[in-house]
Amino acid sequence: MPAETMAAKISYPDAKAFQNIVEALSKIIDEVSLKLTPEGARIRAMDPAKIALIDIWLPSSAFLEYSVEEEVTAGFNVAGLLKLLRRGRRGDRLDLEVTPEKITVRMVGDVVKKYVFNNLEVLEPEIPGELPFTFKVSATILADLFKEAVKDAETVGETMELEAPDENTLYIRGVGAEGGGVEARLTVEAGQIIEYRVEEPCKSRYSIDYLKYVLSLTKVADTAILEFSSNSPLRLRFTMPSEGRVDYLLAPKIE
Amino acid sequence: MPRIPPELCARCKGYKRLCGLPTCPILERFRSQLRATLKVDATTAEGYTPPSALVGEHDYPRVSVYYMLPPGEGAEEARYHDAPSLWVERRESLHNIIRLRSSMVAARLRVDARSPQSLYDKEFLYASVSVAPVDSEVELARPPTPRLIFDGISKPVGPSGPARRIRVTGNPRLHPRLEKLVWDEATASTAIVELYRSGVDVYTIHRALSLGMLGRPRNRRLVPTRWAITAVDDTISRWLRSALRDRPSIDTIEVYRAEYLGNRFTIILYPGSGWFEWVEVWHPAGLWTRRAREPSAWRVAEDPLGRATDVDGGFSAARLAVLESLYRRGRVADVIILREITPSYYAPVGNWHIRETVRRALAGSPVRFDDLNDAVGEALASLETPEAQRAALKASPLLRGVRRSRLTDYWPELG
Repeated sequence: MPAETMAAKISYPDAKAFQNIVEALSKIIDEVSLKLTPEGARIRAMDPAKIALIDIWLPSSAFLEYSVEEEVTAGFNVAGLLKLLRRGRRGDRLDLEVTPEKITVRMVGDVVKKYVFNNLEVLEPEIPGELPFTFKVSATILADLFKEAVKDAETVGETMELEAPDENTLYIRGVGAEGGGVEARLTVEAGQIIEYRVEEPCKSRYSIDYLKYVLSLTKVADTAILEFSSNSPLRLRFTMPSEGRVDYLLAPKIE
Repeated sequence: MPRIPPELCARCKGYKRLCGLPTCPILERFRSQLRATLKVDATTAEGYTPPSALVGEHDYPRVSVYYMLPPGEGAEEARYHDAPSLWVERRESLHNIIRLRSSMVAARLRVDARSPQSLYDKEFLYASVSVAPVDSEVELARPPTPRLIFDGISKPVGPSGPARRIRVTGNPRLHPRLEKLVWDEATASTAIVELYRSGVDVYTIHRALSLGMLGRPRNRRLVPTRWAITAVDDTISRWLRSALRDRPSIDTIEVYRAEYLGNRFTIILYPGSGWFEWVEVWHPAGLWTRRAREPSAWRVAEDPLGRATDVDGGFSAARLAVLESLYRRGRVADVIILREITPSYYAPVGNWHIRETVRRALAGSPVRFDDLNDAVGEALASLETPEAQRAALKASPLLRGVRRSRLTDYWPELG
């Protein structure tokens, strides 16, 4: 009699932080697969319009318990998962148990809430190894500062412009439809930019809607790294204090 | 009448109340100008309901339910008073549609929208969603007022009066799936999709939702017809979108056209992932643009996950027709719909004509193009005036040639 496959069991310390990650996912895709390997948990998803790609990596060390003997994939409906995560409370722990058929989610706080889903078969995007382009600018700023800049830009229009004119300054602008705009000037001098690398002056534009989709990640990360070149994709990297990171690659707006 | 910018009216179409007035002055003008052709002095009327029923939104949640029938007509004639797809097929004129609608008597009941169950023992409820016309009698408290009610989304309602009694003498026959769902616990959205997939036409689903016959029993409400129409269109579209997920794109550029009731539609399907761009161009001196000198245009864009920049009943109706066609082919596409409205569209008879005209357009064979810019250029050139072209270009970046760049443009191996 063949031995039954062992279920993969993982336990994440903060259900609310996990919720913030899933909030961002829910904005770009409706079904997603979580791949568990002995090294860690990974979610990669591209939005149907192929404008944005999200890549989430949580190493096994970010979990309280992580027992995954062989690779297993958990496919779920993002809105469904989000609905129940929203029912969780601050301080709840999140336990996941995955078999090829079922996903069991437990939110453990004062009471234990248990949910069971079918493990869906979800088509994963094909992501070849290396990025075929490099970033000429890389700026590390506080995640909150980034959030404020996106919200300011949103007041005037649908487009955000990033400009790195020299090795000290970064402009984050909102571009309005009729030429109006709002501008935030961040500098290394004033300490708003923590780390800055500018290989050449660059300027590029991105959709504010698509930037707003991942703002919930600013709640789980301390810093955001913005990497871009002129008229080419932006990579936003959110690093979590509890280890793990989320990369968000966004196509530019070309007009 | 206060001075309201015509562009606002073209966006509002009488149902969003963007001007802030309690009732739309343009719709009000219609009420007084277009007298109902039917002069009924009697307080009783007998005939077949097509079926036809409507829930008004005025005074919500104390809403009016209208049960309509053309007096003295046989079953088949009666059916034609509420038959959008037939009207489009026969290219019925605006004048005739108004005449057909205004020759029905509407018996009005006041009902609390929060307790649709109070209607469950009334036969007329079932007659309203019957698959065939149902013989009925209505008795009114006073002779009906000879006026028409327009709201821009629903079909116009003819002369109406408060109902004293509604008696259904025929046998309502319900689609078996609907008969089951009325007594079921399914949520309204599940029920809507189930009915649609069983082949029940959207107009019957509109009426069933509107009359509070669908949804979890304790959540059921009477839903003003205008809201129900958009809710049903959007719910079915959401389902069609999810059913099309992971389907391949079409691989050529296709252009379809159709015109009806002074509305011209150009639909461009091109390889993509499910973006919609809806551009409406209203010529001056039209229904909503009587005082305008220049054409007004505006747009709605919706992304592949179904998030739109605005809510518009016309767009909802057109998108449903396009998604149906793509669903039948098992393909996704990016879509541009250009709607040009000429002054000959003088009365707002509902958004059914948009749904049906776009359906008919897509049933025809397309003209194919190799380059999207050529297809868009041709669509713009078909607009009646250079001013209209300018307005459309101003409203839509996509028409101006702004293209969304995708990650695959920078990373071709990405799948």
